[in-house]
Amino acid sequence: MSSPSTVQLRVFRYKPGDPAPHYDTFAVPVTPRTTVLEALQAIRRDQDPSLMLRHSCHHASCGTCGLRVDGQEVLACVTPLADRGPVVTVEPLQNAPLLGDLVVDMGPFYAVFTQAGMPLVRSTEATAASRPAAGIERLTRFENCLECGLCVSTCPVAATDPLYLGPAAMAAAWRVVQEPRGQNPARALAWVDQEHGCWRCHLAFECSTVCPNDVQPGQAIAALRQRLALGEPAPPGPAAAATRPALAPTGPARRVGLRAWLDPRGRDVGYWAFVLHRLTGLALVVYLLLHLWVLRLLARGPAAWDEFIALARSPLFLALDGLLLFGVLFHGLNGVRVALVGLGAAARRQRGLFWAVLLLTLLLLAAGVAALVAAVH
Amino acid sequence: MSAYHVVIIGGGATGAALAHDLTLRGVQVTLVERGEVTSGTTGRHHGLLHSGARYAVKDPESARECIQENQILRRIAPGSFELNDGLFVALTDEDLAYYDDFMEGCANTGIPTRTLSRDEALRLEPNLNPDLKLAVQVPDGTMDAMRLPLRFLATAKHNGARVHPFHQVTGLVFQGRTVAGVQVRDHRRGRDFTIAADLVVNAAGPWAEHVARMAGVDVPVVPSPGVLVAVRGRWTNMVINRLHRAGDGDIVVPQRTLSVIGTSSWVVDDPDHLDVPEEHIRLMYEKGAEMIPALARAPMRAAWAAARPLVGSRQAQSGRELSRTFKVFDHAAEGVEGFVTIVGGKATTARIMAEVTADLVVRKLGLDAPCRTREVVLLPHTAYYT
Ligand SMILES: Cc1cc2nc3c(=O)[nH]c(=O)nc-3n(C[C@H](O)[C@H](O)[C@H](O)COP(=O)(O)OP(=O)(O)OC[C@H]3O[C@@H](n4cnc5c(N)ncnc54)[C@H](O)[C@@H]3O)c2cc1C
Ligand code: SF4
Ligand code: FES
Repeated sequence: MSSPSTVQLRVFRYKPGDPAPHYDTFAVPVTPRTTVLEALQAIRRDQDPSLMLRHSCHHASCGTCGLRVDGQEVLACVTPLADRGPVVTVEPLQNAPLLGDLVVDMGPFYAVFTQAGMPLVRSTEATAASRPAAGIERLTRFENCLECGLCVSTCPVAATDPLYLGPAAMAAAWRVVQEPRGQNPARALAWVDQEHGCWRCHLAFECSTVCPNDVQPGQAIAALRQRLALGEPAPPGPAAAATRPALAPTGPARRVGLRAWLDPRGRDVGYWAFVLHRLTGLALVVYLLLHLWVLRLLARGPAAWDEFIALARSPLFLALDGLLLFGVLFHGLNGVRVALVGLGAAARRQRGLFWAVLLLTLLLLAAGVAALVAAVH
Repeated sequence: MSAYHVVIIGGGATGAALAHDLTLRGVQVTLVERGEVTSGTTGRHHGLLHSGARYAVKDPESARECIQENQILRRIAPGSFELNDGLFVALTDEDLAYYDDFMEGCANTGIPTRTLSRDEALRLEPNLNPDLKLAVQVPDGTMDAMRLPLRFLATAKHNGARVHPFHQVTGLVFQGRTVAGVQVRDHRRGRDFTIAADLVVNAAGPWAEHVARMAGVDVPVVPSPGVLVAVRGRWTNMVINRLHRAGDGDIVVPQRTLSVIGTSSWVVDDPDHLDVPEEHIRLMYEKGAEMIPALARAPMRAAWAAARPLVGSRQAQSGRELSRTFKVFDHAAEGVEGFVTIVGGKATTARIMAEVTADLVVRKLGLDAPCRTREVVLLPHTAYYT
């Protein structure tokens, strides 16, 4: 192993009563194997014993060490520090009350699980009876969820709706539907069939991207919708009302409402895809109304129409045409991406697909604008 | 509830089980843990619900404790284990020669066994080394290292115990030669304060020596680390052990989608300085692949170390020679009243460790309160947070 090099760790600090969070920078020696967790433990041991962090199993099994490293949700115990550049930023998970430094309160996360009134977090006794043999190494199980909360931290809907059931709990509900093991799947379906349930999901799919154990909560939500829309209707069960305790009783102020939507901090690719998709969708609706209004000119006779055509040849109008084309292309192509990811066909590639969609949009846009300009001149 | 107040230092498996036990006996309990609960040795262990078979020949006392607790835990913590059993596989003639001793040890300590032929074993676990001679099935199982102690803590909390993570004990409060409380530093609010207690229990695992020194007494704890390697893929359903005298890298515990190979054993002075030697990682792969050849090519997910809090002579070389049983120290014997230490054992035996410790604690407090932890079914781990 090569000799240790040094990395600057920029660590989020906050204690109850502080006016605002700040960052402390620590120099830590790292080898190619040093994980973010080991570096943080070394800081607590050698430099600052007051640093608060959570950890337990050290092998991606317990789910307690979830953090954001350079803005990305990860398990600190399996995230190497080397090859990340000279300064690495470490922050706590989002969308959970902050207790201090890197530690969030998992209470609300687990409260959602218990809301359903059925043990969605279920026992691990599945494989005893089933004796899987050939192909066991590829077996993924319904108990894969580590309850780490990475998915909730990255979810744009959880960021704006404090009552949202969230990806992990809905993945657990889908488990009940897929493999009831004595539970009533209809109750699970009734539970997610609500305002803060599966219909609230905006298909950002970052939950599936950050999930460290292949639970694919995004696909689970899509599957729940599909079952509710196409399958036998769930009886109106005693589904619990959403009663998640208010977030962040102690932590610093967090984003809420419309402002949260456009806050760029801590956002991932899937989130921006989601924002662009909504904005282009809205723009297309506005355009349609505009279009109807323009068509009305036809009724006023050829003069009014000629006037409009002259206007339509102005550079400003052409620029708007370009924008419209961008909206149509992006919304259409990203719609295909959302469908592919939602069906589970390309879930693991949602980020790559986003870049492909963007590239294709820009290429087609360039071709379209060239054709437009040629037509005008 | 009695007026007596006991402070427990350490939020690992031992402290958690003790908080539950004492709370059920009507004692007021405050547990302080310097980090997150189970962040010491407990969360990092191998995840094996021991049947005891591993110790049946050399350490029958531990073996008996394990099989009894194994049966009790299945009853009081349903859902926390995979009821997947374990296999001891004999690969060489030398292993075969050990078979008789092994079976006798299991019989003497009450561990049920079932001998499987090579073909039977391979039918159950096709990824085993096809050269195996025979295998013995025992009631081992996979457990969740963190969530079982969380269930003890959850039940204790709901019965009135106070649990304070991120509270580090920095010293003890004395009245004469009697320990009357603890000094703690609350890392969340950055304040120091004292908690008064009628009795303080040191359940600080491999740090127990360090805590005992605060009372001016000595406990013979040897922090003995072991390296564990988690690889991707669940290559077997059962826990796989090598049928031989316990050694390095001879257990593979499947956990969810991972297989965890362990472990090695050496001794250190400071449980906060544990490195993961590269050659131990290689050794785990090598030894693990002897039992399950496919492990050699399985990508690594993580490698880490944890320190066993073994009771014994500090002259120990590797830690393997030390018993895996536990010991309770009443420091009144050294002239310090109000202070008890519990160390050693296994996560599997945390409940009986707590029972024996709590028996001593209530006796010292002059209470007559029997243990109830054999019957009371634990709350789910989610109840710890909600
Ligand atoms: C490699 C390895 C594999 C193992 N595998 C298994 C297995 O498969 N099955 C099994 O049953 N057992 C296993 N064990 C044994 C088992 O892990 C331990 O016996 C058990 O976890 C010890 O628990 P504990 O509560 O005594 O100690 P710990 O879990 O270490 O708890 C002590 C706690 O005290 C805290 N503390 C220390 N100082 C202070 C202070 N000043 N103030 C406040 N708190 C403090 C620490 O932070 C720590 O959390 C294994 C052990 C090792 C090392
Ligand atoms: S679904 Fe994945 S990301 Fe979400 S809590 Fe479970 S393991 Fe973590
Ligand atoms: S410490 Fe358990 S998942 Fe990282």
